[in-house]
Amino acid sequence: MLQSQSMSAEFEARKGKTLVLGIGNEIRGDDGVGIHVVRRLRETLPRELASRVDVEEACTGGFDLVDYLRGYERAVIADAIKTEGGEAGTIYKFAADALRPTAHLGHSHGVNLASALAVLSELKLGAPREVTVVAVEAAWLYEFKEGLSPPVAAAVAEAAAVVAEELRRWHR
Amino acid sequence: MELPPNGERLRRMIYNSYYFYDHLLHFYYLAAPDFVVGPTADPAERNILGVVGKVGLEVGAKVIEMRAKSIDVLKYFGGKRTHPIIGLPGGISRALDAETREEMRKHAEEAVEFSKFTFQIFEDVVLKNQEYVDLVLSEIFGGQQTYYIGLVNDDNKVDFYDGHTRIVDPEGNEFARYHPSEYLDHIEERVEPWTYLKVTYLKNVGWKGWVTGKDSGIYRGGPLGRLNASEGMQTPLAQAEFEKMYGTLGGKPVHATLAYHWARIIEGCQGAELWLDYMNDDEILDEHIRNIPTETPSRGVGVIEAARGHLIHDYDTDENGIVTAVNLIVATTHNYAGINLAIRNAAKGVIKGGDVAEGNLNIVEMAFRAYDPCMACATHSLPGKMPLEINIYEGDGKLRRTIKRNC
Repeated sequence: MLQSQSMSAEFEARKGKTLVLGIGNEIRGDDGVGIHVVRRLRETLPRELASRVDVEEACTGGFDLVDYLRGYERAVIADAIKTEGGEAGTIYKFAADALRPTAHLGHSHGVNLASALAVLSELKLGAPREVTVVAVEAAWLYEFKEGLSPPVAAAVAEAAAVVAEELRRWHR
Repeated sequence: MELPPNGERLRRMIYNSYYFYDHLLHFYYLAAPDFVVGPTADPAERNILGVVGKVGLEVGAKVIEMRAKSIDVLKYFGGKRTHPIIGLPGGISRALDAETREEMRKHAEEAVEFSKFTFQIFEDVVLKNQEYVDLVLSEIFGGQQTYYIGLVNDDNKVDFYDGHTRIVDPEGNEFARYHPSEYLDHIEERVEPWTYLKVTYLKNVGWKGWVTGKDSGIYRGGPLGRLNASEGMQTPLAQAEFEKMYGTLGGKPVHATLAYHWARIIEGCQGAELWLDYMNDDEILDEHIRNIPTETPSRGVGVIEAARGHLIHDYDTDENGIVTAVNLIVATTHNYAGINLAIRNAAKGVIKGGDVAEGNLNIVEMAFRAYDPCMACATHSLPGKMPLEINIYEGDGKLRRTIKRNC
């Protein structure tokens, strides 16, 4: 039956819960670090949090982010980042409010995280009230290769711990 | 190999539901801001939030709801909402049960109603505003007389899933109609030194440079290209709007780039109507949905109409069925020459005396956005750091500035 698996039923079931979403593409080197971080988190997630937290992996972006985030109370996004002069493996934690929506939307794949959150919020469709980004500075971001660069691989456990700490703070 | 009838029926039903939501989303989120909020409005307001500010929150929310209901179809058959596994060699992943069918049927009915509502929005916002009709028909967006390509069924009606490839000339006369597997007899790819995309053109007309007209092999696909290449739509509401579009814009074919948006909602409506037709067909519950392949393939050409345009996949395999050669010509590649010409036209039309004000830049961007291009698909996303050089020339051809990255 469709209803038991439909997205509207899924959105309802998310009430009061937190999403941890790892975003990335595992065959694009460090771009996949978000996926590695949430896999590590799954192994170490304290039992008392497991029933209140959904851990998901997304090798997608754009408008699909609206569906991933909709209905959750809070969310942590784990992803790769490239900053000017940043050192590979550096971990950053910041509120998603710091991100800017796509300025020039040229095509439907161009919706970014901030745009997705703005849509949910403005349309009153259940935007998470707090969204934290935990990002790891990437070295191999444009290469086709599986696996992470050494400094980024070394940062995975700590990044997962940063996510877990955020979850504990929220669900104290 | 042949699919069982219900394997193909279910594939077509799913694909049409996808078309409905893809086109709906593009219209409200990418096209509407330019018309509802205004082409030269502040970019901070020229987005979906600006649209809902004018037409109401409930419209924006309804788009998201309808998208979710369409994606439910993908999720049911493919197990997940993104990258679902639905089409299998010889058929499809899952049969449909009666209870689910009834729910999907209601969603399809809603989709048809929302398509009608969308036509009304287009009428109220664009067609009742002479300034916008003039913009659609202006030289800025309308000077490209190209050939057009699309899949059609036996009656030459637009078909997204399968059929014959039909090409019409800039006057709308049939130029070619062939089985999609014969594409190499009709389409040629060309490499230009200044771009990572290949440029395709009609082999039997030839490459004549960046010019349009009957002597140039440049052609366009996608929503407007498909409608121009056809003799109509398969469903009544879409057909009525098809006739209205050509009646309003001066007959067939329409060359105006911004008419892609109108064509897109017409196609979205056909998607919704066909989705509903399939849901009303009792044969859709037939559980024979797949014939298991027993032979090793050697070569396969698959052609469909992706939402953005004509999509060709061509594979050679060895005696073990392992792929040895691949050629993909994706929608944006077919449209690439047209996109370049559209941008050139728009830029020439609005940028005068070095005035590159934000509003003018957006008008140029509108020419690009109409095609909903995916450059990553079209370049197949090159590995490594992409060397890029941008040369900016004066009107007299004098090089004014060069910007380089990784080269």
